[in-house]
Amino acid sequence: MYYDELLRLCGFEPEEIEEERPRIEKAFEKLELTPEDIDRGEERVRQYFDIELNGVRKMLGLWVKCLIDLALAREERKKIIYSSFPAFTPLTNAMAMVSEDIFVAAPEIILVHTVGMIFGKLPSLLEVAEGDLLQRGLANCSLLQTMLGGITKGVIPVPDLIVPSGVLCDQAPELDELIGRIYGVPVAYLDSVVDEMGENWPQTSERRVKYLAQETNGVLAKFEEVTGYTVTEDISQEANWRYINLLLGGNQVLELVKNADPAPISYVDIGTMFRLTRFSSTTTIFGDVGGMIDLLYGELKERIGRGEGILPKGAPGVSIIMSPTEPSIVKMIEESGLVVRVDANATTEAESAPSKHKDFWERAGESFLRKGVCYCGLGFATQLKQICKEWDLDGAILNYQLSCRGFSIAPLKAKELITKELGIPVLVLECEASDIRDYSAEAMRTRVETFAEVLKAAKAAKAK
Amino acid sequence: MLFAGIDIGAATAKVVILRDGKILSYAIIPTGFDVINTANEVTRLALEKVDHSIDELEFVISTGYARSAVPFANKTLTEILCHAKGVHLLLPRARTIIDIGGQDSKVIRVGESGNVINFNMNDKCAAGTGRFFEVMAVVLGLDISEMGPIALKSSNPCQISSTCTVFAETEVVSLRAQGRSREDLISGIHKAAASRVVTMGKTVGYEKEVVLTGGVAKNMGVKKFLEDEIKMETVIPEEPQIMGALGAALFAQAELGKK
Repeated sequence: MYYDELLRLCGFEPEEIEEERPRIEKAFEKLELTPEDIDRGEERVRQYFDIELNGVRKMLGLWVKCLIDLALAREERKKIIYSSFPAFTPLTNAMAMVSEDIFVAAPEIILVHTVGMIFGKLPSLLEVAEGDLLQRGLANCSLLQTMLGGITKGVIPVPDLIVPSGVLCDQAPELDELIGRIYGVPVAYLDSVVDEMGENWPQTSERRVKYLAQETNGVLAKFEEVTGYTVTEDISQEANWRYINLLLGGNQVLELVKNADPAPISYVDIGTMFRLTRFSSTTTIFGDVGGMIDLLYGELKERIGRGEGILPKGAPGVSIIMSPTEPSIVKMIEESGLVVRVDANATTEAESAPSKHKDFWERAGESFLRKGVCYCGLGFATQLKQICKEWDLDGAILNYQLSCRGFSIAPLKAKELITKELGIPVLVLECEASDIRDYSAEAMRTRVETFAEVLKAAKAAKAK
Repeated sequence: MLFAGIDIGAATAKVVILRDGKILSYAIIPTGFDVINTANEVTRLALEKVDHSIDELEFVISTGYARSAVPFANKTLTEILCHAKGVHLLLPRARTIIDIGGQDSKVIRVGESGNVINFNMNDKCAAGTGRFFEVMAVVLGLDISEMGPIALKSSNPCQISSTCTVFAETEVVSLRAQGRSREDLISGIHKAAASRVVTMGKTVGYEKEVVLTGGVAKNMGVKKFLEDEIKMETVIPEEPQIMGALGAALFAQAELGKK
């Protein structure tokens, strides 16, 4: 079939394609993926991803499987729970593990990585949302816009319960409430406030931790009311262990490439793997992700052993805030001679201190709230600085995301902190997480290439 | 041996021909639609002045937004690096460059050897660029070269938006209807553009000597309002438009040393 080659590029085995064909066809039809979209997907996968590596293919395949499961969840009679970004993953995983009848996802994250990143047609969803509720040019969150567009267009199902978090900003709960009212869906808020004192990062106040735990218990009560299933502490513990294993696996790959010189792989691949383990929040990945990580780890280790790399040895390393929708931006950064080592989603050692809380949800909540973006603007900026320090980077490229509350506040402050306290250059670019209609790699090229030359000169001077 | 630097900007294409580290010839023409043809034409013009041809060029570096489209360039470099290099040759004490071109503006901090230390550049907005002045000149029915001298005649500039060329145009039309003088309007336009550029460069910082480059540097109104904003004097090279091309030519010459 016209999509077989794309699926093969995404690590599907021939027998798997045959077995899954009825589901694949139904899902692609629902998602309105035409043969032209599939061709574009093939082209983008070949252009942007390291498909020589089977681990990368399998990783892309997991994203496609997430999309298929998401599109068919209603037809397959699942109880559907949506959680907005950033999902409180221990909670979403616990809900997902209660029963095979439950499908939990952060739908916008899946759509951004598939309809956007692979198929390059996210505007088709954004435009629907703009025609419905969220007008263009008003700095609406493009992730939420993606979810609304998907629901309104009918490519993803209306959920049975929405769990928006106010941990990052106010837009998620506001929009999810609206979706709830329009479609008659109950909403269980995971409320919080991003009001810590930045200089205290990553120490999280007891008040916030206890409040989040209380909110989590409220969400679980609502979940039980809607689905009839109870999330016990045992299930929560097991779900959390699975999640921790995913994180450890992802971190193991990140550690492997952290200091490898030359850099063995593009950050397009690493970042996409990293976000799959952290943010997709679906049961789809539980079974296969460990195998994918092991495969990728092994292949990368071999490549490092052979001394192969995507850039010459000694290329300056940078951190980024990236756009997952458009891999061409990271590719352009790498073409300019910079190694992207890490992004803003990385966990720093500073965040890893043991918790003093006894309650399971308090412990999990504390870990979640330590993330800079869930802490406060200055806390996030401090975390971005910490990433540069722990990764021993030569510079940072930070996207100032105009339509995102959390990601629009921190980059400028981070630039000041990183430049003053670490003495390394920072380039701030205006971009967007998902809506890249107004941005392109080409428009940023002059700034990135100049920045690359500045970093190369600084590194050469330091070496002397 | 001859070296060339070609700067294909949004509004104009510039070329500098270098021999023994000195400018032998240069040319400036409008970029137009066909950038490949423009690159050929501007280079031919500059070489013709000194009885040479393209075949005699030892090394060519192209810069500017269409740098990748120059068919006979041996290498491309960004205009930020090239401006710093070009300015350093003529004004070695320069530490800050404010470059305002046809569709972009940049503030560049340079080191003692003409190396770029830090920079900032406008994103997608035309406010604070040559295009801003072109639009305003059309609205006011003036030739763009008349704008600067008129701007200097007002002591009460209008308050005009510095964030958007289109909104600023609307404001100018309204202020004109309110009876504000042409001098106050044009002065306000210059003040708004200068404010926009200076704000953009604040994260880079301003250090003496501050040099203005790009076509807009020829506008004395812009010079005055930039100086008011940064509270420092500025210096303008004899031909501020060719600094990028000059820098590219210098880099081209340096390539010979690498061989």
